[in-house]
Amino acid sequence: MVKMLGLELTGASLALRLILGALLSAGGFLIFYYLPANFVELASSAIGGEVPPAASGLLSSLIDPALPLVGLALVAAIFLCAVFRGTKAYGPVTIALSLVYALYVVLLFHGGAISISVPADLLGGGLPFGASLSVSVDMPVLMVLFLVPALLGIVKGFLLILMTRRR
Amino acid sequence: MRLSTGINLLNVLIVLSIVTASTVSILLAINAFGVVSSVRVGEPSVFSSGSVVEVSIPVQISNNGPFGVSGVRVSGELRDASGVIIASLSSPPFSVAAGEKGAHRIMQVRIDFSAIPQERLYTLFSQAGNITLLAKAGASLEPFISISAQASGAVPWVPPIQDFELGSPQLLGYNSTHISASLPVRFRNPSEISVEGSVNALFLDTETGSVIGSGYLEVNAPSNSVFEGTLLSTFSLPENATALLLEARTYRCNATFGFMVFGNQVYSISRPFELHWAPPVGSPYFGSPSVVPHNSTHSMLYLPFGFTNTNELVTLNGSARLGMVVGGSLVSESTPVGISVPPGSAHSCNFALMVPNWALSAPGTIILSMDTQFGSASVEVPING
Repeated sequence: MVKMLGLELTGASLALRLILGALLSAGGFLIFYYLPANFVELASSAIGGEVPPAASGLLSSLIDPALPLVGLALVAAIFLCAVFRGTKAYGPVTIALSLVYALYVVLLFHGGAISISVPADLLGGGLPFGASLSVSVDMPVLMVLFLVPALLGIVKGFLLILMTRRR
Repeated sequence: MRLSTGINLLNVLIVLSIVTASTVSILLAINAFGVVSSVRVGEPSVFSSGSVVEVSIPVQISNNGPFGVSGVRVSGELRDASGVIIASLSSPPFSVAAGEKGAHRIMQVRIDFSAIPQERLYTLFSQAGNITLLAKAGASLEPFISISAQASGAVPWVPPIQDFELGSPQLLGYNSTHISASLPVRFRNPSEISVEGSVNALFLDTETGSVIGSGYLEVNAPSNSVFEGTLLSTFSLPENATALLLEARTYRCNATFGFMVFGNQVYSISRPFELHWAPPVGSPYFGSPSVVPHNSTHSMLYLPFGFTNTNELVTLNGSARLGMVVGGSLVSESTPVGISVPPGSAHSCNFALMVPNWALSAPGTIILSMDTQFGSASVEVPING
Protein backbone atom coordinates (compact mmCIF):
# COMPACT_ATOMS: atom_id res chain seq x y z
CA MET A 1 0.00 0.00 0.00
CA VAL A 2 1.19 3.49 -0.76
CA LYS A 3 0.05 6.42 1.35
CA MET A 4 -0.18 9.56 -0.69
CA LEU A 5 -1.30 12.80 0.99
CA GLY A 6 -3.82 11.10 3.27
CA LEU A 7 -4.98 8.52 0.71
CA GLU A 8 -3.93 4.88 0.79
CA LEU A 9 -3.40 3.43 -2.62
CA THR A 10 -2.33 0.09 -3.91
CA GLY A 11 0.50 -0.02 -6.37
CA ALA A 12 -1.92 -0.94 -9.12
CA SER A 13 -4.19 1.97 -8.26
CA LEU A 14 -1.26 4.35 -8.30
CA ALA A 15 -0.12 2.98 -11.61
CA LEU A 16 -3.65 3.38 -12.96
CA ARG A 17 -3.71 6.99 -11.80
CA LEU A 18 -0.37 7.65 -13.45
CA ILE A 19 -1.54 6.06 -16.70
CA LEU A 20 -4.85 7.98 -16.59
CA GLY A 21 -2.93 11.20 -15.82
CA ALA A 22 -0.56 10.53 -18.69
CA LEU A 23 -3.46 9.87 -21.08
CA LEU A 24 -5.41 12.97 -20.01
CA SER A 25 -2.34 15.14 -20.08
CA ALA A 26 -1.42 13.76 -23.49
CA GLY A 27 -4.84 14.82 -24.76
CA GLY A 28 -4.43 18.15 -22.99
CA PHE A 29 -0.95 18.51 -24.52
CA LEU A 30 -2.40 18.08 -27.99
CA ILE A 31 -5.25 20.52 -27.43
CA PHE A 32 -3.70 23.12 -25.16
CA TYR A 33 -0.06 23.14 -26.30
CA TYR A 34 0.55 21.43 -29.60
CA LEU A 35 -2.42 22.97 -31.41
CA PRO A 36 -1.63 26.63 -30.55
CA ALA A 37 2.14 26.14 -30.81
CA ASN A 38 1.85 24.69 -34.32
CA PHE A 39 -1.24 26.52 -35.48
CA VAL A 40 0.22 27.79 -38.76
CA GLU A 41 1.75 24.43 -39.71
CA LEU A 42 -1.50 22.62 -38.89
CA ALA A 43 -3.43 25.14 -40.98
CA SER A 44 -1.03 24.43 -43.88
CA SER A 45 -1.72 20.74 -43.55
CA ALA A 46 -5.45 21.36 -43.38
CA ILE A 47 -5.52 23.33 -46.64
CA GLY A 48 -3.08 20.91 -48.24
CA GLY A 49 -0.47 23.45 -49.19
CA GLU A 50 1.80 26.23 -48.07
CA VAL A 51 0.10 29.05 -46.17
CA PRO A 52 1.08 32.34 -47.82
CA PRO A 53 3.49 34.39 -45.69
CA ALA A 54 0.88 37.13 -45.21
CA ALA A 55 -1.70 34.64 -44.01
CA SER A 56 0.89 33.00 -41.80
CA GLY A 57 1.47 36.30 -40.01
CA LEU A 58 -2.28 36.77 -39.64
CA LEU A 59 -2.76 33.29 -38.19
CA SER A 60 0.19 33.77 -35.84
CA SER A 61 -1.33 36.99 -34.52
CA LEU A 62 -4.44 35.04 -33.51
CA ILE A 63 -2.38 33.04 -31.02
CA ASP A 64 -1.04 34.86 -27.99
CA PRO A 65 2.70 34.06 -27.63
CA ALA A 66 2.15 33.04 -23.98
CA LEU A 67 -0.65 30.63 -24.84
CA PRO A 68 1.49 27.49 -25.46
CA LEU A 69 3.40 28.07 -22.19
CA VAL A 70 0.15 28.42 -20.24
CA GLY A 71 -1.06 25.36 -22.14
CA LEU A 72 1.95 23.43 -20.80
CA ALA A 73 1.08 24.56 -17.27
CA LEU A 74 -2.48 23.41 -17.88
CA VAL A 75 -1.22 20.00 -19.03
CA ALA A 76 0.79 19.70 -15.83
CA ALA A 77 -2.26 20.67 -13.76
CA ILE A 78 -4.39 18.07 -15.56
CA PHE A 79 -1.79 15.41 -14.80
CA LEU A 80 -1.62 16.40 -11.14
CA CYS A 81 -5.41 16.44 -10.86
CA ALA A 82 -5.58 12.91 -12.23
CA VAL A 83 -2.85 11.65 -9.92
CA PHE A 84 -3.95 13.44 -6.73
CA ARG A 85 -7.68 12.79 -7.13
CA GLY A 86 -9.12 11.96 -3.67
CA THR A 87 -6.05 13.16 -1.79
CA LYS A 88 -5.62 16.23 0.40
CA ALA A 89 -3.95 17.95 -2.55
CA TYR A 90 -6.91 17.40 -4.89
CA GLY A 91 -8.73 20.57 -3.77
CA PRO A 92 -5.75 22.93 -4.20
CA VAL A 93 -4.73 21.25 -7.46
CA THR A 94 -8.32 21.60 -8.76
CA ILE A 95 -8.22 25.32 -7.90
CA ALA A 96 -4.82 25.62 -9.60
CA LEU A 97 -6.14 23.80 -12.69
CA SER A 98 -9.17 26.11 -12.80
CA LEU A 99 -7.03 29.23 -12.47
CA VAL A 100 -4.61 28.12 -15.16
CA TYR A 101 -7.56 27.20 -17.38
CA ALA A 102 -9.08 30.65 -16.75
CA LEU A 103 -5.77 32.28 -17.73
CA TYR A 104 -5.67 30.09 -20.83
CA VAL A 105 -9.21 31.15 -21.81
CA VAL A 106 -8.41 34.82 -21.30
CA LEU A 107 -5.27 34.51 -23.45
CA LEU A 108 -7.14 32.48 -26.07
CA PHE A 109 -9.81 35.18 -26.39
CA HIS A 110 -7.26 37.99 -26.12
CA GLY A 111 -9.13 39.35 -23.14
CA GLY A 112 -12.43 39.30 -25.02
CA ALA A 113 -11.47 41.38 -28.03
CA ILE A 114 -9.24 40.43 -30.92
CA SER A 115 -7.95 43.01 -33.37
CA ILE A 116 -6.14 41.86 -36.44
CA SER A 117 -4.68 43.71 -39.38
CA VAL A 118 -5.47 41.92 -42.59
CA PRO A 119 -2.47 42.06 -44.93
CA ALA A 120 -3.20 43.57 -48.34
CA ASP A 121 -1.73 40.46 -50.04
CA LEU A 122 -4.60 38.42 -48.70
CA LEU A 123 -7.23 40.57 -50.38
CA GLY A 124 -6.74 39.47 -53.96
CA GLY A 125 -4.15 42.03 -54.94
CA GLY A 126 -4.92 44.39 -52.13
CA LEU A 127 -7.43 47.16 -51.59
CA PRO A 128 -7.54 50.21 -53.82
CA PHE A 129 -5.34 53.19 -52.93
CA GLY A 130 -3.13 50.97 -50.77
CA ALA A 131 -5.81 50.88 -48.10
CA SER A 132 -5.32 48.74 -45.04
CA LEU A 133 -7.99 46.58 -43.44
CA SER A 134 -8.31 45.75 -39.80
CA VAL A 135 -10.92 43.56 -38.20
CA SER A 136 -12.01 43.63 -34.56
CA VAL A 137 -13.96 40.86 -32.93
CA ASP A 138 -15.50 41.54 -29.53
CA MET A 139 -16.59 38.41 -27.71
CA PRO A 140 -16.53 39.02 -23.96
CA VAL A 141 -19.77 37.08 -23.45
CA LEU A 142 -18.39 34.04 -25.25
CA MET A 143 -15.23 34.30 -23.18
CA VAL A 144 -17.26 34.46 -19.99
CA LEU A 145 -19.14 31.37 -21.14
CA PHE A 146 -15.82 29.54 -21.37
CA LEU A 147 -14.80 30.91 -17.96
CA VAL A 148 -17.84 29.39 -16.23
CA PRO A 149 -16.19 25.92 -15.94
CA ALA A 150 -13.16 27.59 -14.34
CA LEU A 151 -15.36 29.37 -11.82
CA LEU A 152 -17.19 26.15 -11.01
CA GLY A 153 -13.83 24.37 -10.73
CA ILE A 154 -12.60 26.90 -8.17
CA VAL A 155 -15.78 26.43 -6.12
CA LYS A 156 -15.33 22.70 -6.40
CA GLY A 157 -11.72 23.04 -5.23
CA PHE A 158 -12.78 24.96 -2.15
CA LEU A 159 -15.47 22.37 -1.38
CA LEU A 160 -12.86 19.62 -1.71
CA ILE A 161 -10.56 21.44 0.73
CA LEU A 162 -13.52 21.84 3.12
CA MET A 163 -14.39 18.19 2.81
CA THR A 164 -10.76 17.14 3.44
CA ARG A 165 -10.62 19.23 6.61
CA ARG A 166 -13.85 17.71 7.97
CA ARG A 167 -12.49 14.20 7.74
CA MET B 1 -26.88 19.18 1.30
CA ARG B 2 -23.80 17.07 1.80
CA LEU B 3 -20.50 18.32 0.40
CA SER B 4 -20.03 15.26 -1.77
CA THR B 5 -23.43 15.88 -3.36
CA GLY B 6 -22.45 19.46 -3.97
CA ILE B 7 -19.21 18.35 -5.59
CA ASN B 8 -21.05 15.88 -7.77
CA LEU B 9 -23.46 18.61 -8.80
CA LEU B 10 -20.53 20.87 -9.60
CA ASN B 11 -18.97 18.13 -11.71
CA VAL B 12 -22.19 17.88 -13.72
CA LEU B 13 -22.36 21.66 -14.07
CA ILE B 14 -18.73 21.82 -15.19
CA VAL B 15 -19.35 19.22 -17.87
CA LEU B 16 -22.57 20.98 -18.94
CA SER B 17 -20.87 24.38 -19.10
CA ILE B 18 -18.01 23.00 -21.19
CA VAL B 19 -20.47 21.33 -23.56
CA THR B 20 -22.58 24.51 -23.72
CA ALA B 21 -19.62 26.77 -24.44
CA SER B 22 -18.32 24.42 -27.13
CA THR B 23 -21.78 24.02 -28.71
CA VAL B 24 -22.37 27.78 -28.72
CA SER B 25 -18.98 28.33 -30.36
CA ILE B 26 -19.71 25.82 -33.10
CA LEU B 27 -23.20 27.23 -33.67
CA LEU B 28 -21.81 30.76 -33.81
CA ALA B 29 -19.28 29.74 -36.44
CA ILE B 30 -21.94 27.98 -38.53
CA ASN B 31 -24.37 30.89 -38.04
CA ALA B 32 -21.80 33.51 -39.05
CA PHE B 33 -20.66 31.53 -42.10
CA GLY B 34 -24.26 30.98 -43.22
CA VAL B 35 -25.18 34.64 -42.88
CA VAL B 36 -22.07 35.91 -44.66
CA SER B 37 -22.48 33.46 -47.54
CA SER B 38 -26.17 34.41 -47.95
CA VAL B 39 -25.55 38.13 -48.44
CA ARG B 40 -26.50 39.42 -51.90
CA VAL B 41 -25.89 43.08 -52.64
CA GLY B 42 -28.05 44.74 -55.33
CA GLU B 43 -27.45 47.69 -57.59
CA PRO B 44 -27.11 50.88 -55.56
CA SER B 45 -29.36 53.82 -56.43
CA VAL B 46 -28.46 57.44 -55.86
CA PHE B 47 -30.97 60.12 -54.94
CA SER B 48 -30.01 63.72 -54.44
CA SER B 49 -32.10 66.57 -53.15
CA GLY B 50 -30.49 69.90 -52.59
CA SER B 51 -27.23 69.37 -50.80
CA VAL B 52 -28.18 65.90 -49.57
CA VAL B 53 -27.20 62.76 -51.46
CA GLU B 54 -28.60 59.41 -50.45
CA VAL B 55 -27.15 56.17 -51.72
CA SER B 56 -29.46 53.19 -51.21
CA ILE B 57 -27.93 49.75 -51.42
CA PRO B 58 -30.42 46.87 -51.43
CA VAL B 59 -29.22 43.86 -49.49
CA GLN B 60 -30.75 40.40 -49.36
CA ILE B 61 -29.74 38.33 -46.38
CA SER B 62 -30.79 35.05 -44.75
CA ASN B 63 -30.20 33.95 -41.20
CA ASN B 64 -30.77 30.25 -40.76
CA GLY B 65 -28.87 30.10 -37.48
CA PRO B 66 -30.17 30.30 -33.94
CA PHE B 67 -28.70 33.73 -33.20
CA GLY B 68 -30.09 37.04 -34.40
CA VAL B 69 -27.89 39.30 -36.46
CA SER B 70 -28.13 42.91 -35.35
CA GLY B 71 -26.41 46.23 -35.78
CA VAL B 72 -25.49 45.65 -39.42
CA ARG B 73 -24.11 49.01 -40.47
CA VAL B 74 -21.62 50.84 -42.63
CA SER B 75 -20.07 54.22 -42.05
CA GLY B 76 -17.25 56.24 -43.46
CA GLU B 77 -15.21 59.35 -43.11
CA LEU B 78 -13.18 61.48 -45.44
CA ARG B 79 -10.35 63.48 -43.95
CA ASP B 80 -8.13 65.98 -45.65
CA ALA B 81 -4.33 66.10 -45.47
CA SER B 82 -4.46 67.92 -42.14
CA GLY B 83 -6.71 65.27 -40.64
CA VAL B 84 -9.84 67.39 -40.52
CA ILE B 85 -13.07 65.57 -41.36
CA ILE B 86 -14.42 66.67 -44.72
CA ALA B 87 -17.42 64.42 -44.81
CA SER B 88 -18.86 61.61 -42.81
CA LEU B 89 -21.57 59.19 -43.71
CA SER B 90 -23.36 56.40 -41.97
CA SER B 91 -26.22 54.02 -42.49
CA PRO B 92 -28.83 53.32 -39.84
CA PRO B 93 -28.23 49.81 -38.46
CA PHE B 94 -30.58 46.97 -39.33
CA SER B 95 -31.22 43.52 -37.91
CA VAL B 96 -32.06 40.09 -39.24
CA ALA B 97 -33.88 37.88 -36.78
CA ALA B 98 -32.92 34.25 -36.24
CA GLY B 99 -34.57 32.04 -38.82
CA GLU B 100 -35.44 34.94 -41.16
CA LYS B 101 -34.88 33.91 -44.77
CA GLY B 102 -34.38 36.11 -47.83
CA ALA B 103 -34.86 39.29 -45.82
CA HIS B 104 -34.66 42.45 -47.91
CA ARG B 105 -33.01 45.42 -46.32
CA ILE B 106 -32.01 48.79 -47.65
CA MET B 107 -28.67 50.09 -46.52
CA GLN B 108 -29.01 53.83 -46.81
CA VAL B 109 -26.00 56.09 -46.73
CA ARG B 110 -26.62 59.81 -46.45
CA ILE B 111 -24.16 62.56 -47.25
CA ASP B 112 -25.03 66.18 -46.58
CA PHE B 113 -22.70 68.37 -48.58
CA SER B 114 -23.98 71.49 -46.84
CA ALA B 115 -22.42 70.12 -43.66
CA ILE B 116 -18.99 70.30 -45.24
CA PRO B 117 -17.29 73.54 -44.19
CA GLN B 118 -16.94 75.95 -47.10
CA GLU B 119 -13.21 76.36 -46.65
CA ARG B 120 -12.74 72.59 -46.86
CA LEU B 121 -14.64 72.45 -50.12
CA TYR B 122 -12.60 75.33 -51.45
CA THR B 123 -9.38 73.53 -50.49
CA LEU B 124 -10.58 70.37 -52.20
CA PHE B 125 -11.30 72.20 -55.42
CA SER B 126 -8.10 74.19 -55.40
CA GLN B 127 -5.37 71.95 -54.01
CA ALA B 128 -4.05 68.52 -54.88
CA GLY B 129 -3.23 66.20 -52.02
CA ASN B 130 -4.16 63.00 -50.33
CA ILE B 131 -7.55 62.34 -48.77
CA THR B 132 -7.80 59.73 -46.11
CA LEU B 133 -10.75 57.43 -46.52
CA LEU B 134 -11.92 55.54 -43.48
CA ALA B 135 -14.66 52.98 -44.04
CA LYS B 136 -16.22 50.94 -41.27
CA ALA B 137 -18.66 48.08 -41.26
CA GLY B 138 -19.96 46.00 -38.42
CA ALA B 139 -22.47 43.45 -37.25
CA SER B 140 -23.28 41.49 -34.11
CA LEU B 141 -24.37 37.96 -33.41
CA GLU B 142 -26.26 38.76 -30.27
CA PRO B 143 -25.21 38.43 -27.57
CA PHE B 144 -21.93 36.69 -28.14
CA ILE B 145 -19.89 38.28 -30.90
CA SER B 146 -19.59 41.75 -32.35
CA ILE B 147 -17.46 42.07 -35.47
CA SER B 148 -16.28 45.32 -36.96
CA ALA B 149 -14.01 45.93 -39.90
CA GLN B 150 -12.23 49.12 -40.72
CA ALA B 151 -10.46 49.99 -43.96
CA SER B 152 -8.38 53.11 -44.34
CA GLY B 153 -6.37 54.38 -47.22
CA ALA B 154 -5.01 57.50 -48.80
CA VAL B 155 -6.85 58.53 -51.93
CA PRO B 156 -4.88 60.83 -54.19
CA TRP B 157 -7.00 63.88 -54.85
CA VAL B 158 -6.75 65.98 -57.98
CA PRO B 159 -8.81 69.19 -58.07
CA PRO B 160 -11.57 68.72 -60.66
CA ILE B 161 -11.47 72.28 -62.04
CA GLN B 162 -8.20 73.35 -63.58
CA ASP B 163 -7.04 75.81 -66.26
CA PHE B 164 -10.25 77.81 -66.09
CA GLU B 165 -10.48 80.14 -69.09
CA LEU B 166 -12.91 82.76 -70.30
CA GLY B 167 -13.33 83.47 -73.98
CA SER B 168 -14.37 86.71 -75.64
CA PRO B 169 -17.95 87.71 -74.89
CA GLN B 170 -20.48 88.09 -77.67
CA LEU B 171 -23.46 90.37 -77.43
CA LEU B 172 -26.67 88.49 -78.10
CA GLY B 173 -29.56 90.86 -77.56
CA TYR B 174 -30.86 93.77 -75.60
CA ASN B 175 -33.86 95.57 -74.30
CA SER B 176 -34.27 99.03 -72.84
CA THR B 177 -32.60 98.06 -69.57
CA HIS B 178 -30.33 95.09 -70.22
CA ILE B 179 -28.09 93.51 -72.75
CA SER B 180 -27.47 89.80 -72.93
CA ALA B 181 -24.16 88.27 -73.85
CA SER B 182 -22.65 84.85 -74.21
CA LEU B 183 -19.35 84.09 -72.57
CA PRO B 184 -17.34 80.99 -73.55
CA VAL B 185 -16.11 79.06 -70.51
CA ARG B 186 -13.54 76.32 -70.63
CA PHE B 187 -11.84 74.23 -67.96
CA ARG B 188 -10.13 70.89 -67.61
CA ASN B 189 -11.30 68.16 -65.26
CA PRO B 190 -8.28 65.89 -64.77
CA SER B 191 -9.77 64.20 -61.72
CA GLU B 192 -11.54 60.89 -61.30
CA ILE B 193 -14.81 62.51 -60.25
CA SER B 194 -17.27 64.24 -62.50
CA VAL B 195 -18.40 67.79 -61.94
CA GLU B 196 -22.14 68.03 -62.40
CA GLY B 197 -23.94 71.16 -61.41
CA SER B 198 -24.03 74.74 -62.51
CA VAL B 199 -22.01 77.91 -62.59
CA ASN B 200 -23.50 81.12 -61.32
CA ALA B 201 -21.56 84.16 -62.41
CA LEU B 202 -21.72 87.56 -60.81
CA PHE B 203 -20.21 90.63 -62.43
CA LEU B 204 -19.20 93.47 -60.15
CA ASP B 205 -18.18 96.89 -61.40
CA THR B 206 -14.50 97.26 -60.58
CA GLU B 207 -14.86 100.92 -59.68
CA THR B 208 -18.10 101.02 -57.75
CA GLY B 209 -18.37 97.45 -56.58
CA SER B 210 -21.99 97.33 -57.61
CA VAL B 211 -23.51 94.33 -59.37
CA ILE B 212 -23.88 95.01 -63.07
CA GLY B 213 -24.61 91.56 -64.37
CA SER B 214 -25.13 87.90 -63.72
CA GLY B 215 -24.98 84.65 -65.64
CA TYR B 216 -25.76 80.98 -65.48
CA LEU B 217 -24.39 77.82 -67.04
CA GLU B 218 -25.19 74.15 -66.59
CA VAL B 219 -22.02 72.10 -66.13
CA ASN B 220 -21.46 68.44 -66.77
CA ALA B 221 -17.78 67.64 -66.90
CA PRO B 222 -17.04 63.91 -66.73
CA SER B 223 -13.76 62.78 -65.22
CA ASN B 224 -10.66 63.34 -67.35
CA SER B 225 -12.41 65.64 -69.78
CA VAL B 226 -12.30 69.19 -71.03
CA PHE B 227 -15.47 71.17 -70.46
CA GLU B 228 -16.47 73.85 -72.92
CA GLY B 229 -19.69 75.76 -72.47
CA THR B 230 -21.27 79.12 -73.01
CA LEU B 231 -22.35 81.11 -70.04
CA LEU B 232 -25.40 83.22 -70.75
CA SER B 233 -25.29 86.50 -68.91
CA THR B 234 -27.22 89.71 -68.70
CA PHE B 235 -25.82 93.14 -67.95
CA SER B 236 -27.82 96.11 -66.84
CA LEU B 237 -27.51 99.15 -69.08
CA PRO B 238 -26.67 102.53 -67.59
CA GLU B 239 -29.71 104.68 -66.90
CA ASN B 240 -28.04 107.63 -68.57
CA ALA B 241 -29.30 107.22 -72.14
CA THR B 242 -27.09 110.03 -73.46
CA ALA B 243 -23.97 108.21 -72.36
CA LEU B 244 -25.34 104.92 -73.65
CA LEU B 245 -26.09 106.36 -77.11
CA LEU B 246 -23.08 108.54 -77.56
CA GLU B 247 -20.20 107.19 -75.49
CA ALA B 248 -18.01 104.20 -76.00
CA ARG B 249 -17.76 102.34 -72.75
CA THR B 250 -15.76 99.48 -71.35
CA TYR B 251 -17.40 97.62 -68.50
CA ARG B 252 -14.52 96.64 -66.27
CA CYS B 253 -15.67 94.17 -63.75
CA ASN B 254 -14.63 91.35 -61.57
CA ALA B 255 -16.43 88.18 -62.58
CA THR B 256 -16.97 85.59 -59.87
CA PHE B 257 -17.93 82.13 -61.04
CA GLY B 258 -19.48 80.02 -58.30
CA PHE B 259 -19.64 76.28 -58.96
CA MET B 260 -22.74 74.66 -57.52
CA VAL B 261 -22.73 70.91 -56.95
CA PHE B 262 -25.79 69.26 -55.40
CA GLY B 263 -27.22 72.71 -54.84
CA ASN B 264 -24.31 73.80 -52.73
CA GLN B 265 -21.62 76.23 -53.80
CA VAL B 266 -18.41 74.28 -53.62
CA TYR B 267 -15.92 76.53 -55.34
CA SER B 268 -15.57 79.95 -56.85
CA ILE B 269 -13.14 81.52 -59.24
CA SER B 270 -12.73 85.24 -59.84
CA ARG B 271 -11.45 86.72 -63.07
CA PRO B 272 -11.20 90.30 -64.32
CA PHE B 273 -13.57 90.75 -67.19
CA GLU B 274 -14.20 93.45 -69.75
CA LEU B 275 -17.20 94.06 -71.95
CA HIS B 276 -16.95 96.74 -74.60
CA TRP B 277 -19.92 98.85 -75.60
CA ALA B 278 -19.71 100.77 -78.86
CA PRO B 279 -22.13 103.75 -79.09
CA PRO B 280 -25.06 103.49 -81.51
CA VAL B 281 -24.54 107.16 -82.23
CA GLY B 282 -20.87 107.15 -83.07
CA SER B 283 -18.88 110.08 -84.42
CA PRO B 284 -21.85 112.46 -84.60
CA TYR B 285 -21.28 115.60 -86.66
CA PHE B 286 -23.05 118.71 -87.82
CA GLY B 287 -22.36 119.85 -91.34
CA SER B 288 -22.09 123.40 -92.61
CA PRO B 289 -25.33 125.28 -92.03
CA SER B 290 -27.04 127.15 -94.78
CA VAL B 291 -29.53 130.01 -94.34
CA VAL B 292 -32.26 130.87 -96.81
CA PRO B 293 -34.46 133.95 -96.18
CA HIS B 294 -38.03 132.95 -95.67
CA ASN B 295 -39.78 136.31 -95.17
CA SER B 296 -38.93 139.67 -93.69
CA THR B 297 -38.70 138.36 -90.15
CA HIS B 298 -37.62 134.70 -90.49
CA SER B 299 -35.11 132.61 -92.37
CA MET B 300 -34.79 128.88 -92.95
CA LEU B 301 -31.72 127.37 -91.30
CA TYR B 302 -30.62 124.03 -92.79
CA LEU B 303 -28.23 122.00 -90.69
CA PRO B 304 -26.90 118.60 -91.90
CA PHE B 305 -26.43 115.99 -89.19
CA GLY B 306 -24.92 112.53 -89.40
CA PHE B 307 -23.52 109.68 -87.34
CA THR B 308 -22.47 106.05 -87.65
CA ASN B 309 -24.00 103.26 -85.64
CA THR B 310 -20.80 101.66 -84.36
CA ASN B 311 -22.62 99.18 -82.17
CA GLU B 312 -22.44 95.66 -83.54
CA LEU B 313 -25.76 94.60 -82.05
CA VAL B 314 -28.22 97.44 -81.83
CA THR B 315 -30.40 98.77 -84.63
CA LEU B 316 -31.13 102.25 -83.46
CA ASN B 317 -34.77 103.20 -83.89
CA GLY B 318 -36.47 106.42 -82.98
CA SER B 319 -36.49 110.02 -84.02
CA ALA B 320 -34.32 113.10 -83.80
CA ARG B 321 -35.16 116.77 -83.77
CA LEU B 322 -33.25 119.99 -83.50
CA GLY B 323 -34.07 123.02 -81.44
CA MET B 324 -32.53 126.44 -81.06
CA VAL B 325 -32.46 128.16 -77.69
CA VAL B 326 -31.50 131.80 -77.31
CA GLY B 327 -31.49 133.54 -74.00
CA GLY B 328 -33.05 130.58 -72.32
CA SER B 329 -36.02 130.50 -74.70
CA LEU B 330 -36.75 128.01 -77.42
CA VAL B 331 -36.95 130.11 -80.54
CA SER B 332 -37.21 127.34 -83.13
CA GLU B 333 -37.66 123.61 -83.43
CA SER B 334 -37.48 121.24 -86.39
CA THR B 335 -39.98 118.55 -87.12
CA PRO B 336 -38.81 115.13 -85.87
CA VAL B 337 -36.82 113.04 -88.34
CA GLY B 338 -37.28 109.27 -88.24
CA ILE B 339 -34.21 107.17 -87.47
CA SER B 340 -33.65 103.50 -88.22
CA VAL B 341 -29.96 102.69 -88.37
CA PRO B 342 -28.75 99.11 -88.51
CA PRO B 343 -25.44 98.14 -86.84
CA GLY B 344 -22.42 99.49 -88.71
CA SER B 345 -24.51 101.80 -90.91
CA ALA B 346 -24.19 105.54 -91.32
CA HIS B 347 -27.09 107.92 -91.05
CA SER B 348 -27.41 111.48 -92.23
CA CYS B 349 -30.25 113.99 -92.41
CA ASN B 350 -30.81 117.68 -92.90
CA PHE B 351 -32.68 119.52 -90.17
CA ALA B 352 -34.70 122.53 -91.24
CA LEU B 353 -35.52 125.26 -88.72
CA MET B 354 -37.45 128.43 -89.23
CA VAL B 355 -35.44 130.90 -87.20
CA PRO B 356 -36.18 134.55 -86.41
CA ASN B 357 -33.60 136.67 -88.21
CA TRP B 358 -32.48 138.32 -84.96
CA ALA B 359 -31.60 134.91 -83.52
CA LEU B 360 -29.25 134.02 -86.33
CA SER B 361 -26.53 136.19 -84.92
CA ALA B 362 -27.41 135.92 -81.20
CA PRO B 363 -25.41 133.65 -78.89
CA GLY B 364 -27.44 130.55 -78.17
CA THR B 365 -27.53 126.79 -78.23
CA ILE B 366 -28.47 124.18 -80.76
CA ILE B 367 -30.04 121.20 -79.00
CA LEU B 368 -30.14 117.81 -80.68
CA SER B 369 -32.79 115.61 -79.05
CA MET B 370 -33.10 111.91 -79.78
CA ASP B 371 -35.88 109.60 -78.69
CA THR B 372 -34.80 105.98 -79.05
CA GLN B 373 -35.57 102.59 -77.63
CA PHE B 374 -33.01 103.34 -74.93
CA GLY B 375 -34.69 106.54 -73.89
CA SER B 376 -34.21 110.19 -74.66
CA ALA B 377 -30.85 111.84 -75.08
CA SER B 378 -29.84 115.35 -75.99
CA VAL B 379 -26.69 117.09 -77.09
CA GLU B 380 -26.18 120.83 -76.80
CA VAL B 381 -23.91 122.75 -79.15
CA PRO B 382 -23.25 126.46 -78.47
CA ILE B 383 -23.55 128.83 -81.43
CA ASN B 384 -22.42 132.37 -82.05
CA GLY B 385 -20.50 132.19 -78.80
